[in-house]
Amino acid sequence: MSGDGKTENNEAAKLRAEISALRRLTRRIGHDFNNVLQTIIGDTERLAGDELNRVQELSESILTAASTGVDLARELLAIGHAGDRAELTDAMAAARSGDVGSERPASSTVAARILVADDQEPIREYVRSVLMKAGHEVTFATNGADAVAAVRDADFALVLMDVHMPGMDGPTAIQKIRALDGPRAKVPIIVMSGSEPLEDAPSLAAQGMTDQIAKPFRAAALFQKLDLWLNRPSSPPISSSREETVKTPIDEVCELMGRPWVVRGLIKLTAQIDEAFGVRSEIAAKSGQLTEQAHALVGLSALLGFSTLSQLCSALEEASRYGRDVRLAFEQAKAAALQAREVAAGLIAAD
Amino acid sequence: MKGQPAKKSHNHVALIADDDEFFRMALSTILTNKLGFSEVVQTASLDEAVEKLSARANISLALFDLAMPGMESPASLRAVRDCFEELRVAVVSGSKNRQDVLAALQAGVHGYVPKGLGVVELVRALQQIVDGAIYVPPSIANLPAATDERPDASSRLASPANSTLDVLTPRQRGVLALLVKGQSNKAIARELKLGEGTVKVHMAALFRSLGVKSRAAAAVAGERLLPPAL
Repeated sequence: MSGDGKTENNEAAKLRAEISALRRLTRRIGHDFNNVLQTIIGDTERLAGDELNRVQELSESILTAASTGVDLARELLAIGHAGDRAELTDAMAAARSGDVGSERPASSTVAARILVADDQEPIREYVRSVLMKAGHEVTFATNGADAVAAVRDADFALVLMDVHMPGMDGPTAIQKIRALDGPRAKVPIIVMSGSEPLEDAPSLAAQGMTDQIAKPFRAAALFQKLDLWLNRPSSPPISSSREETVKTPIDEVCELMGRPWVVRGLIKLTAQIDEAFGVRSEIAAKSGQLTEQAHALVGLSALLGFSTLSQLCSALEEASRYGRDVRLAFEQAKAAALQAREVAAGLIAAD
Repeated sequence: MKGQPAKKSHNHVALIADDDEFFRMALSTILTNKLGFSEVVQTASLDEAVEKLSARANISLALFDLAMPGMESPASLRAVRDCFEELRVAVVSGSKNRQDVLAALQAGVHGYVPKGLGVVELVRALQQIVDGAIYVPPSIANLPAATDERPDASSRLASPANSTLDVLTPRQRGVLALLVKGQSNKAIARELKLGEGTVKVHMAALFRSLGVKSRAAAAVAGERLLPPAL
């Protein structure tokens, strides 16, 4: 506990003001939700009698859900910042004014530029509101062809891709993106699947899907995926407005162990990746070795700062040991491994 | 980790047992540069580790990998805990399998550090253990899903009831073979060119692995297990 009683009172008053401001925000969001609903339903005048009543009911339940959601968000904020009232007040003020660029609740990722490809506006808006809260910059595409064009023309740190879209669908767009020339073809792509699990996840992964997330998803689930795919040496923050020099994990390890050791490690990592995920690695034929190879990569890749690869290899080791979802785990680890391999090759060459 | 001065400590010696030389080097550097150890003894097997621990009384921290012969059962870790009361013992493993963590804790270790942590977190975790806390991966607090309960004894540190020769280290097997012949610790030490203290640790591990409480019972169990040629 720091500070005297006076500042404490002051802060409490500020906090109360912020809470009532958030209440107003709740009502506004409820109103927006209602509008969104109208958009989804379309031409409400065509509806009559019972149908109209149903829409009314739906609107009301959405309103309730929206205000509960904001209350919940406020509680979460309070829990997250428990013990530091001043910080909490700031966070709430930021949430209210919409100035969320500097706040990154629930996510430790660096601000990044993200492409959201979905034909449904409510989904796009939802995803955008979540991403903006974490300070990310969001661009929209409404079909696969637009998504491919967007990735071709600009640098994105990540793509969130719907499956079914008019014109070009998600899987086709993924293939086209992977077939682009240059580094933009390697952008991580997370497929937003329907509530049913993706049946063809392994083949989608083989075609270039990096990961998937099932709709509807909560903000926390999305942040988890972002943490996994944005926090790594291979995808530096794109936003150039943030000049702060963030020390990368590889810098940390260079500082500790010295460059020669790190370079030796990177060479070893490259060899292990080739062994586990190289051209000749037909997964079915070598499932026995796979557990061991994945195990060996867990420690080495973490040591060298490739935390995503380490996590995915850990998952692959488990999957392989117990024979569960091995193909998907393999393809995901492989995608991360090949990216890590490229970064490693770059670092080795720069030495 | 800048601005965190290495602890001034005289003659703090740590031991690492890990067959991955590369990882050993990293751990060793962390222990000397970040945690203030003056010397780090590097070993590549459990047997070697036990010999060094018996030979030197001033080792205060021992880190064990799980992927080594002799680590399949918690018996060896438990014997190390029993025989070196002052020693802080931790597992540093590539696995963060819940059952591995729980089995290691049951064996009495002071920490379980996943290798996947990365350098910065690794330093933090080891610091906690050196400072006297017990470190476990935060994921251990996640309630296990029903599918996580694996009845197939999948843990690397499976139950000690599994008293086959497979869970013994080469040294433990050698000691057992001589015990079956009725030799004393002193004689076993002479024959295997080991310190007597080392033989005692192996013996403690053997008792636990075989689930017995006396030399005689261990000899009987050993006779049944060992191939007649020995």
